[in-house]
Amino acid sequence: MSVIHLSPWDLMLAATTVLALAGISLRMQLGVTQTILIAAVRTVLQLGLIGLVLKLLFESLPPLWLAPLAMLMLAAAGREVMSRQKRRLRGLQGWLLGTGAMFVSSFLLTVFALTVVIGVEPWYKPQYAIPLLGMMLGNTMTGIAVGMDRLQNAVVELRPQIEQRLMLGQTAKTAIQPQLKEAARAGMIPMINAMAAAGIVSLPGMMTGQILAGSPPMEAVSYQILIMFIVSAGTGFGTLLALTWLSRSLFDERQRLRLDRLS
Amino acid sequence: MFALLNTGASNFEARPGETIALYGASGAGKSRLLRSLADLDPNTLEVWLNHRTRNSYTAPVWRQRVQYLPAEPVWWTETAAEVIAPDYAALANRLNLKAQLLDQPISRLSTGERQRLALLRSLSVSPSILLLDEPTAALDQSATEKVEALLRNWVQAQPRAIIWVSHDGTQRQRVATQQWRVANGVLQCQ
Repeated sequence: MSVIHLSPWDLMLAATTVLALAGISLRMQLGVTQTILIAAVRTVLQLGLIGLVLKLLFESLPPLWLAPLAMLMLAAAGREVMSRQKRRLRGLQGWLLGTGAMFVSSFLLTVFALTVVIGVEPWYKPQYAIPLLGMMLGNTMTGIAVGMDRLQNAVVELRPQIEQRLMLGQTAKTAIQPQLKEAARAGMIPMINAMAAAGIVSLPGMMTGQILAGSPPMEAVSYQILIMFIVSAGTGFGTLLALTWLSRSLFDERQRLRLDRLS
Repeated sequence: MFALLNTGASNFEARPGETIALYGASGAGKSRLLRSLADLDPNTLEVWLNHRTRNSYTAPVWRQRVQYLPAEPVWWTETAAEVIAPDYAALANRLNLKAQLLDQPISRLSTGERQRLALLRSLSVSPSILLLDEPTAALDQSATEKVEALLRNWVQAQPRAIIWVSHDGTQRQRVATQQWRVANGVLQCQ
């Protein structure tokens, strides 16, 4: 089996569908036309760019270039996490917290998958490392952003309840426990649902891609299972880590709830 | 020296068994003062309890000992019974509350019933000092008298003290051994 080559002309044909959607949104005055168009253009530019970078990396650059690319991906994901939060910790702290949690969980699990599970030689071979890391970051990012956003909104809305618990002598950790649980669940549920629905409701994108590119289905399935496991674990650990750090930053050394630390 | 407060300008002392009435115009800073005493907001007060500085207690222990009961207490449990120790639940009838109320959903209770149950909830964590913010605001005269009587017994049973915000001058006369006034965020002895 070989891949049918997609020409720029083919992609333009595909783009007409999005253009049609944008046209209808304009007519219905949904107010999303511009957003759709910008997002579509971003898809083309960003994917085109990463395609070029990967081509360079696979073919001509020394593998050491993996490091700056990985850092760039992490920084972009960190920015995205911040922009998805309605309220956030003031200053650099909020960015460091989300990005730090993402770094720890996604890098650790990616390296684990590369060295222990797949056994790539050398483990940093860009053809494996970049797509894996990309998928890890993409999902971890969502979990962390959802979880942090949820917890920050909850402490603002439920401040009287949390403070009431503090007044009765509960520790900060106990007082925020229900909101922390709720936020952790919100961050992890999408991944858990994706695992449960995989193959029945949805054919995961990566597996579909591999099959389209000519891989034998069972091969694609094995990779998909691996990806789902490490991505779920990475999202879960990343979310828990970020929420633990966040809930500590919301209280000071006298265990007072410090909403002034949120913007 | 049972309980001492230094505001930077002067000292205020509560002796064991005392009830101190706190008054002042709305917005003068009474609730802010109580929140600071309970260490819920960053503040520069120096407070001692039983010859120990506030920071020598961990924050949760301090707040359990120096128990702030806000004007609008918050409930997070389904029923009051879940958070009131049995010894204190037994005091319900002394506040004109039927014992069954403790097992009813909080959302179905009246403001006055919730206020009295919140007092029992605060008492049941064994504080040394109670900071009460208008604890009888939603109560009729009979219930108010019961609350005053219960607190009079409570404060004298052990080395304890009460700081009681009340807008009612006659109530302050009835319950207080000292009166402190708050004006423009500044505490004054009367």
